[in-house]
Amino acid sequence: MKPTTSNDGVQRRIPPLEILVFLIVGLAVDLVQGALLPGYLRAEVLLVLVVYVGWSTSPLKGAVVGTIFGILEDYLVGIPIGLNGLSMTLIGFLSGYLSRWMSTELGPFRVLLFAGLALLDRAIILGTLYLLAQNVSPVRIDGLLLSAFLTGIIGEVFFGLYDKIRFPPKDFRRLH
Amino acid sequence: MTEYVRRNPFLGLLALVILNLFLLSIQVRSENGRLVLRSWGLAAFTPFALTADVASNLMHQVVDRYRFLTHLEERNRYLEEQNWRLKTELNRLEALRRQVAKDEGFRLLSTLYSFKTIRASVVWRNLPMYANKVIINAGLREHVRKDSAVITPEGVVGRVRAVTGLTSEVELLTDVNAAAGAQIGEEGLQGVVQGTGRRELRLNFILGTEQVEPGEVVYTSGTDGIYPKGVPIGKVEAAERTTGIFQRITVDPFVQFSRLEEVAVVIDEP
Repeated sequence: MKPTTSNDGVQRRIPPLEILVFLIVGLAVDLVQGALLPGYLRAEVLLVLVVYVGWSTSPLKGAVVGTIFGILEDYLVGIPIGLNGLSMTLIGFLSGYLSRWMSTELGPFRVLLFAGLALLDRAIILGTLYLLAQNVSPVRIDGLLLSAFLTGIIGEVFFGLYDKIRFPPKDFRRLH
Repeated sequence: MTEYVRRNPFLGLLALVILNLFLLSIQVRSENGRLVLRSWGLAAFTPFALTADVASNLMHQVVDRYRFLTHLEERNRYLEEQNWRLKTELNRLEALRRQVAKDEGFRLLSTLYSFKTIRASVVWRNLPMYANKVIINAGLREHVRKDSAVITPEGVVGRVRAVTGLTSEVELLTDVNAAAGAQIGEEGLQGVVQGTGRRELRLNFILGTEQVEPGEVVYTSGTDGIYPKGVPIGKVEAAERTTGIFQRITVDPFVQFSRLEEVAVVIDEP
């Protein structure tokens, strides 16, 4: 696979305002999900946004956005600050790197990618809790898989819609 | 700086990871209630503390060793001096102990025997040609007479052969011309002990039919008119049958004639 700067070979620039909108929307969805849905039905919306930013820009930007989004999520949810911050930092950085080596032309692949990264996110959080010598309550694998699958679906939908809105295909016929 | 981090994104990632871990460590507490940051800090500091402790101990040991070596000569001199002092003290105490034992022995003489004695020191021994004679510092002035018996708490020494005003010549029982009436045991077989010129004595005139066992004690019998009765002479060393009518009996004297220092002379009541 040939390295590229992003999934379609173009390194995009996402304005800070859009990232802020991502953040607000992501946090709002996260809070609503947290209030209404059981854990296994919650999609990692903020994770999707971090992956998108990392994938579309660069590993470093993905990591920075991951840190900010994660810390804010930790603060709002009320868990130790840095837990999601650490995992989303790593995921953002990783997604930026993956974009150079992989292509996400196929929808199912994107679903798998988001689901895989969501599982990785959970693994990092559990590993961090273990590292901090905290008591970790038993985790249900089926719940984790379902949540990761939902995250994959949300990611696929978001990727498709946002790319279509933000970067519509050019109509070259107008040039004639 | 920003450009450097942009070129090396892993540095940025590292900084962000450290930031998140730091944030976690200042909030999360371990099971024993300590902040994780403090636990981590302690864990990180422990190797340095241990290393510093080991280094400090090592340094102390080196310094102590150096001090020890530098003071070794001085200490050695001090210990030698101390050793000499203690040896001298020990010798003095040993001499004192011997003297006390000797005094006790002579004091016992007056309680063991009914006769009277006076103490005298040997002032000369091993006279040329008179190897079995000694000179003591008691003479006529102390009522010593010719043929006075000379004893020690251990046993018979000999008799006075010549007397001056202040000294007397004592013929030891080991002299070939010396003899004393003797008996085996306090009421046993009677014979005569004679000197041989050597250390051992000879007990004569014991019939070959008599039973004499090595180890039996030989006392004076008081039959010679010189030695009072009942003073120990020695013990039987060997008793051999001969072709004659008497046994050949060797007696090991109790008195160490070569080490005589003080004696008691039996005197008549003044």
